[in-house]
Amino acid sequence: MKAILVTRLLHWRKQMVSLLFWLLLPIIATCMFVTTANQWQQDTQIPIGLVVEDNTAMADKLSQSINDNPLIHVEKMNMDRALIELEQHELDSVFVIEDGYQENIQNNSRNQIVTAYVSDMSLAFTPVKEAIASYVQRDAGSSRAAHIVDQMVQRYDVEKNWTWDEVVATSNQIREEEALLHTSFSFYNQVEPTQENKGVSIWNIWGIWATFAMLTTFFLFDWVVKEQQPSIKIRLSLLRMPFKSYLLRNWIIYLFLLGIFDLINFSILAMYFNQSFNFSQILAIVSFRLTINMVAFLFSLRFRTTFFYYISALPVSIFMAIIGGALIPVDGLIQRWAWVSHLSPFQPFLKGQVVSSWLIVLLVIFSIWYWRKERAYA
Amino acid sequence: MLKVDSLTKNYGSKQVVVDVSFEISQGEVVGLVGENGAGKSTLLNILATLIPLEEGSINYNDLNYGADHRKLREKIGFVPQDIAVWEDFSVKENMVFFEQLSWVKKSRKELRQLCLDMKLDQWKEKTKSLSGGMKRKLNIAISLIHDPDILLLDEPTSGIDLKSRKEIGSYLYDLAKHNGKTIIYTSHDMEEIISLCDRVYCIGKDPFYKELLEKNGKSVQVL
Ligand SMILES: Nc1ncnc2c1ncn2[C@@H]1O[C@H](COP(=O)(O)OP(=O)(O)O)[C@@H](O)[C@H]1O
Ligand SMILES: [Mg+2]
Repeated sequence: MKAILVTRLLHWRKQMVSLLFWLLLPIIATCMFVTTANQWQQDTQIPIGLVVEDNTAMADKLSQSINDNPLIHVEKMNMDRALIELEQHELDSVFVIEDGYQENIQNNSRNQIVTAYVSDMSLAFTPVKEAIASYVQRDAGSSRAAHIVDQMVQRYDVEKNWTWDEVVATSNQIREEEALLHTSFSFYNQVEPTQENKGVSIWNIWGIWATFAMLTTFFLFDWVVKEQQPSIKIRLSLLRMPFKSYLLRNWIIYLFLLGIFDLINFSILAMYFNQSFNFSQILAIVSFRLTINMVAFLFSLRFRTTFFYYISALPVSIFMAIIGGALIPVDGLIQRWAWVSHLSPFQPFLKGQVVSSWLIVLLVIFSIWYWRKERAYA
Repeated sequence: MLKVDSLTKNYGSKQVVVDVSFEISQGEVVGLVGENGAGKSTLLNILATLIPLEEGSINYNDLNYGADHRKLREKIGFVPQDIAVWEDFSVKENMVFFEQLSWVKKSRKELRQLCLDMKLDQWKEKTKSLSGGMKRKLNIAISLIHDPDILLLDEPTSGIDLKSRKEIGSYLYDLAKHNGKTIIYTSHDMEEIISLCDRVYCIGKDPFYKELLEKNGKSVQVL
């Protein structure tokens, strides 16, 4: 093993710059991406008006929860002001926590808990409503209050000269068929928004990190392609150890190198974004590392030129990231076609699984590769 | 003593090596000639254990090619037809890289001396910037790191200048005559074959090489 390390270091010394670039890419790119995205997101929060007419602890808590939602910019105001701003499209929608909110929740009454006002220009009403409904639901402690908000929706018709009574009179019930859309606002690994990390939680930091980690792994594994050039392979086949053993030992060295960087990345990300972390997350990272190193290795074995390897690796890793839900939510897709969740090693990682079907299948293929006799004596 | 018996190798329906038998003893320099595609590289690759033996038998002293290929590899130095070195490494780094993975430990000094013996003195130079002749020398030097008994060279002097060719030729000749190495090598340069080889094997049906070499007083056996 020491000999392999010496030979690998000879290669690394030649590739210092690119090696460091790829090793540092995941952490730097994730931090930059998430920071920029949060900045942008804060500029594009949905403005809503919040009118709190109930003076109770529960109403306070609800208004706090809405306030903490990273996608929503809340302005507290009185009813008249709110409706004027809604008319002027300064607000996307207006929500009123009605007088008697706490009492009605506690009595399991469905009347006048939260009322929503919308205009024709309320683009983001549905997701905001879903989010608020989920908070109310949490307050209600069960699904008793499932459709509270839905039932209370008032259509605010900007074309008309309105009066309060007219608004109420022309109110429409909007019933949404879908269940409360938790996922509109969070990817996997959802972290409850808190005061400190407001604006961060909606980005799946680990999804973005995993995407860059996958890219890095593919690009660093070009060593397999280089060492399989026919002429070099002949030499490496005639050495003290069989060629496959040579590749396997190098693979282990890369596993350690990348594994160490993973743990460093993990601690930095956890601190930088105030994420909580625990031992099972570390196990999930180790399992993910093992998985993608096998993916990259078995994939690279198929290539004879680095050029074709690079241009094939790029779409493959992006496809896996997308289908695995690392970049955009894919819950809807998975609900419809369950098998989609098996298409990418990102899914189990983002769910925090340690043992996944990917890991097991790859371990089997990897072992078959290693133990199978080759036609040549290599 | 290397003993080859009724060796046959087909690629699909194409017969490349047909029922070949010969014996080579220690310290001999044997040339292998034939037109392109005759099967010279295939034969050398089989002797180097890179292509598995299918029909026939090969023995080196008491080692058998079917059973002991790992032990055989320790005894064989194979110089591939295509230059097989790390282009972005220096001469030194190439030598150290392959020494680490080789059967024997060699000091830097010994490795350097090996290169110097071949008149390859650009120790720190990047392989990329070496001349064709120097690259060929490095290609041979790497295969000699583990002091093999048998040296199989596939066109070791192709495409290089006369001076380097002479240097490589006389180095190989010394290895056989003073160090007792057995050398089998292919070449298209008949002058070189005539001046270096004790015996010549001709592979393929074309009588051109046989006639040319025999006119110059070489004993040629057709395989
Ligand atoms: N891996 C292979 N598969 C099929 N045919 C091959 C393979 N390697 C060599 N050949 C064929 O075998 C013949 C002998 O090739 P080779 O031994 O390289 O000849 P030489 O070295 O004398 O030029 C050629 O016709 C070549 O096309
Ligand atoms: Mg050839």
